[in-house]
Amino acid sequence: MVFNSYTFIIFFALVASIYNLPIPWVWKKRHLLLASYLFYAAWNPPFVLLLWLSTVVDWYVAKWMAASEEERRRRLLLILSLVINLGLLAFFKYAGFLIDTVNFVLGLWSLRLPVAAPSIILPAGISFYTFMTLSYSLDVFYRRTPPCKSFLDYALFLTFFPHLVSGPIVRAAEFTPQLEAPKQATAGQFALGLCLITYGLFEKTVLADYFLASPAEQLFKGEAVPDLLSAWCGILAFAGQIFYDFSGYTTCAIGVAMCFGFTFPENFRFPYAAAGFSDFWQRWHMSLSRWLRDYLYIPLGGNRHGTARLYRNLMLTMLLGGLWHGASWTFVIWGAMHGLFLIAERIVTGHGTRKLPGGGPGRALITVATFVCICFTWVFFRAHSLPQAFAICQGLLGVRPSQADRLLAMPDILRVVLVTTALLATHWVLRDTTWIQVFQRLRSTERTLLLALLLAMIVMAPGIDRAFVYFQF
Amino acid sequence: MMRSVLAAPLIAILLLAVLELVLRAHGFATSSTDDINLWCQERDRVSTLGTEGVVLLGTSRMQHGFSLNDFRNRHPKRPICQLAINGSEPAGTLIDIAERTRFRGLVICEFPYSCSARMNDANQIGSIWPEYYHRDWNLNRRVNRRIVSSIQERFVVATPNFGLNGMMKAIVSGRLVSRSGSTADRQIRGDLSVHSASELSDMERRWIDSLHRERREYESRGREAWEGDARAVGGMARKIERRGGRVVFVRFPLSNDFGRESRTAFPKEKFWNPFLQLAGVRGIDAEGNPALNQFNCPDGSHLDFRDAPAFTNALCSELERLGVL
Repeated sequence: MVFNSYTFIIFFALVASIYNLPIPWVWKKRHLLLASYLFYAAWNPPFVLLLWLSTVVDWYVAKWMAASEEERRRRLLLILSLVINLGLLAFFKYAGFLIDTVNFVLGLWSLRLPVAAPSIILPAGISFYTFMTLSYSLDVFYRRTPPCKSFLDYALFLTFFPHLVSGPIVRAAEFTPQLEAPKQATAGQFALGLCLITYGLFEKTVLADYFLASPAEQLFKGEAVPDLLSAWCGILAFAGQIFYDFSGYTTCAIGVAMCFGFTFPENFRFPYAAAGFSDFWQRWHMSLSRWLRDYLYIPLGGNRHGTARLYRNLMLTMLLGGLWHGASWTFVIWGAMHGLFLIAERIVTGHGTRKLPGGGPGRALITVATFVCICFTWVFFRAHSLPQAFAICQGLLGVRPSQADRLLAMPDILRVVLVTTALLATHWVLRDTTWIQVFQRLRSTERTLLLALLLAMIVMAPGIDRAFVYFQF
Repeated sequence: MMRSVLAAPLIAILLLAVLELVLRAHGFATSSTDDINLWCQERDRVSTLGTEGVVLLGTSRMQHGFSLNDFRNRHPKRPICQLAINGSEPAGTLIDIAERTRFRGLVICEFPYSCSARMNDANQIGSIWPEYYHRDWNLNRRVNRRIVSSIQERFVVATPNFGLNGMMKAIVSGRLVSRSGSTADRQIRGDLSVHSASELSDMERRWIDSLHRERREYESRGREAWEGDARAVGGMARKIERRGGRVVFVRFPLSNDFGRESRTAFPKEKFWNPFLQLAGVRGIDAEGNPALNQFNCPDGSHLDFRDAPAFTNALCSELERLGVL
């Protein structure tokens, strides 16, 4: 089930209505848990068992780790959790990729594995809930957080439907305390939640799907070298599409959670206003970048063991971040590019001794340069093959213009230019605020008219049903 | 905050109601979003069609040029199902019908001029959509699509016939013009007369660019691969025929520069004729058939909806002459 569907509206209305009945708190939590399993089962019912397995394994692992003082036993339990969770992730997500890669290498000597790459259905949200449950096990192991006292609370933390399929990646320490006492949204919270849902649906349905998806798809259809205009408009369209698609989902998720009285962490803060790649990763998919920082970058040593180790740690973190997104070399290259840009930024800023301009034309220039570099990374993120990615890069650089194809029609080009100009302008102007603050600061009439306009536009944008891009991760 | 949230939907409904009245006054009709879920809805019907049933495969040309209503008027006892996919080749859907159904009726497959099939290309929409149908088309999606269809059949503002793009064009041009739209049974009502000469020329140029890409791809894959695909297509057709079905391949008319370029890039004697022979299938080609070739495609590639009834009747006559209908 997706947020931008009529079935979700019916589901949400039913769940919220029952939740707001005068029933005991424990029954409300049970109701949310059941609703979350139903929400997940709407994708593919058998995979609820997988989710259940992850829940049960880490509940007991954390409980036994916290109860034991023996370091060796605690370490073994942690390894058990890592092996099971990462093993499941590896099987469902990476088995085909690993076999194809090994076969490619063996193929250099005309050899081949005796097994074919399996065709496996990827359970929705597995990358997200695996990271959540791993963060719980790791936090309990490092004694950063006590284990959950209630199985119901832990299961609900992992399974709560607003974040289940595409994040934000919530930490147990951020969410389980909210389950200790009865939670009910105030009228203001509920209204603000609905505002966020409306805006999130507008981002996804109107901006991502209706205006930008088609031009992006035109660019990534084949392996022809696009002409300069088609290449840039196509990649701008994708840059906008992936932002609005993912941000739209998370905004809806935060809004839905708010309607039940829960708070989720922010996941996007106008990332295309980023000045430099460090800034970008503090604005884009913030819950993932925090996870990678806390559970990968810092344990690897962070910046505490010299320059060479710092570069290695940055590169490893981004490579694994790329691989988390998808089982393909294009994602690995995407991660590597981000790693290189982060390293380059460290070098340019003298490892923090020289500060980037905080404002004015200097900052604007760096923001534009950052955005252009990000666009190049998006080529590899979206391309379905390396040849396609290289062909598009050639198009972006204007190489082989005589052999380039015009892939986009003028109306598409104009639409992309209009929407992405508005996107970049919005990000620049609102870079130090949030949409929650924007909605709260608007006057009542302004807010009413804005919401009415957004709703009307959502109805008038009956585009092709496109899955959320991040659902494939 | 709650006042805004309660008032906003009411204002939105008022705005949309006014727009609905204005659009209907200007001759706009409802239309359906022709997406993967609508295709799946039609695909669901295949198992109910029986031996008298007809399944249409192909590209947007089939969706534009074949009038489902006129077919139903001519053959009221034959249920028909439109499974052609805009912007794709029919190979993937042909494999789906051959291997994953027990369909024993008539398959009419509109084929591109290149007669290329790319039988094992999992990236083609024609392969992706059937795969989605078997893997992801579940109760939730069925219910949601029914609700979407129901709303789109009733309200013009909720259909792709106008939409935000139409609004922007209307503001820029100062005119409200009803454009092409799909029906609930996936026919594209393509009114190509609303497009200006430069828009049609732009479209034709894109078809020609696409044609040149197809030709380059054919050259890079080689003749052997093309022949292999043709035999594989034949294999799929024979699978359907062995269980009592019939399969006919059709090439629709093309016009103007696009038609000329297509005939130059993929001449009949080197592509269509060898394809029929290698695949061992029956074919009807508009080129050289006066009854089918008399229609002009304003954008070079697609028939206008006004010509669809006459073209459909002419094609039905050919199919009846072949003995498959």
